[in-house]
Amino acid sequence: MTDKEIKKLTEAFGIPEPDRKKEFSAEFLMRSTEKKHKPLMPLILRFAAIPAMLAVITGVILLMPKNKLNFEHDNNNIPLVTQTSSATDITVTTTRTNETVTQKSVTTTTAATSKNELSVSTTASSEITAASTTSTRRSGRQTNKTTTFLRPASTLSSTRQTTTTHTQIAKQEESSSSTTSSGNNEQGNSVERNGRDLTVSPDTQYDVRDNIIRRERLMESDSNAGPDFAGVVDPTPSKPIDQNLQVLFDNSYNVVLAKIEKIVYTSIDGEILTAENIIIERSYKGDLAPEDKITVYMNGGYMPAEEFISYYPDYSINDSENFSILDNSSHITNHSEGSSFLFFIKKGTGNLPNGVYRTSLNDGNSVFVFDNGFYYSLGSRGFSFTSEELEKLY
Amino acid sequence: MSLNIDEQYDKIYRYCFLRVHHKETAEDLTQETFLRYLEHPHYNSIDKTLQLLYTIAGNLCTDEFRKAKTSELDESETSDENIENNVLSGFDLKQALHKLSNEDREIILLRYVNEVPVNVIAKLLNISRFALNRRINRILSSLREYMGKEELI
Repeated sequence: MTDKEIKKLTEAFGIPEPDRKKEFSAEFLMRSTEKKHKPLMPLILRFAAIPAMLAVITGVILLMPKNKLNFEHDNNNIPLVTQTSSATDITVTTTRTNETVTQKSVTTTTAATSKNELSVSTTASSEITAASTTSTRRSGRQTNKTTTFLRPASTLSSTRQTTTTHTQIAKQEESSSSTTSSGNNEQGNSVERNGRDLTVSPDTQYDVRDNIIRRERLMESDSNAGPDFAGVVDPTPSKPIDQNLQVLFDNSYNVVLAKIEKIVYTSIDGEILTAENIIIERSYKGDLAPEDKITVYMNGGYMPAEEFISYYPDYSINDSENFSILDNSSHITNHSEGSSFLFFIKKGTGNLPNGVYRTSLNDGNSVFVFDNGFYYSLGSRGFSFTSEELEKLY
Repeated sequence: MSLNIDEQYDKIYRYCFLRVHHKETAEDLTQETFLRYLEHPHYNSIDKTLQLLYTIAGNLCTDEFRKAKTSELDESETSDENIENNVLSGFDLKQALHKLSNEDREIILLRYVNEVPVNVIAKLLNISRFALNRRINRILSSLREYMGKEELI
């Protein structure tokens, strides 16, 4: 909205100007300055409590019997550790594990290229939980892929043998470092990473159907909808790009370069959302470290049409069971698993699950893709900056 | 995050005036809002800061409304006279705004005059952002209907 429009609207409300603003502003600034200087003792206590807690935890860890504190080594690791000298045995174990999985989710395993077979074999269990989700989730969008990669059993067995060979090689090369992580394979925990797994799985997960209706189309046909006030949907004051980056950086708890590991379409209270598990590659701001894995929520995504109607009964869609509603307000269709993006995020609040993060802005301007020396916003290509400009803020 | 008192004072004042319809009371409540804000921990996020401010202001206005219900009715009569004057002077927008419910007027003030982000308003009203956007569209349609115009300004 322009200043003139705001002024007209303010006049229409008939609100008189305040009289005591100046005096109060001066007093408020004085009081807030005093407040900044006051709380020394709480700060001291807070910082003193941290080393005290660390000392207690360290003491507990050191003094307690070791066999009770094997947090990082699971019993399942033992057979694998003792068998590191025998690559064949490891291979067999891994293959068996893979087999039970791939019977359920063939598409995932066979979709791996020759380059990625290593990763498929060593991270099979990390995909166990994801695989079924992936196959069902992508049933609508990637129908072609699914049909393409279905193969008869004989072909499957040959594929598995190939996988086996690569696994063997991997184990031989990484025998010193991978014993722990190979055990983790069976549990589906983090594999070959030392980072924290802070992900939270959404309660609701949606498939994407073949037929898509964009939410904007529904709004256009809605008689209650109409042009926004003075034609402005969500007025964003235009500022120079460096100020936008500074504002975005300041308003974010964390700024991270991360790879999308998993995309889940979900909703909360009828609001269409997408939850992405991302693995941190680099952190520019905040307390996240490389290899940490978190879940980020953002506006938009897919929702089954019949469920959408149940929340918004004003809309009617024929044959709704065959449609998904797409809300692309955050340009979510530009996100893909395996790709890296720069995320500006903050801790999730409100009705989001505990422990998750959300994008700092709701319109796709919190996620940037790196291209030819620039980071470009997925929401607006005009919003871009260089790595150097980002480094200056770091 | 430090609060820009110059910017937020007017906005909180407008919000309080819309609720209590009395200038002096609205200023008192505005100042009380900022003083109470100082007692809370400061947030890094502007959204959380705004949400805290408007929550405090809203609660204070509600308490004030309960205390001085009779006097508020008197003030609203005064507002009606002003509306009549404005109608005579051809100020349709004000009349149309007056026809809205209190909550709808509040939403328009927060969204378009005070420029409060949609997610903050949604949290204040405890509804989803999508539901809020639909409600805003409905309010705008109502305003156009009252005024019989395509654009409101």
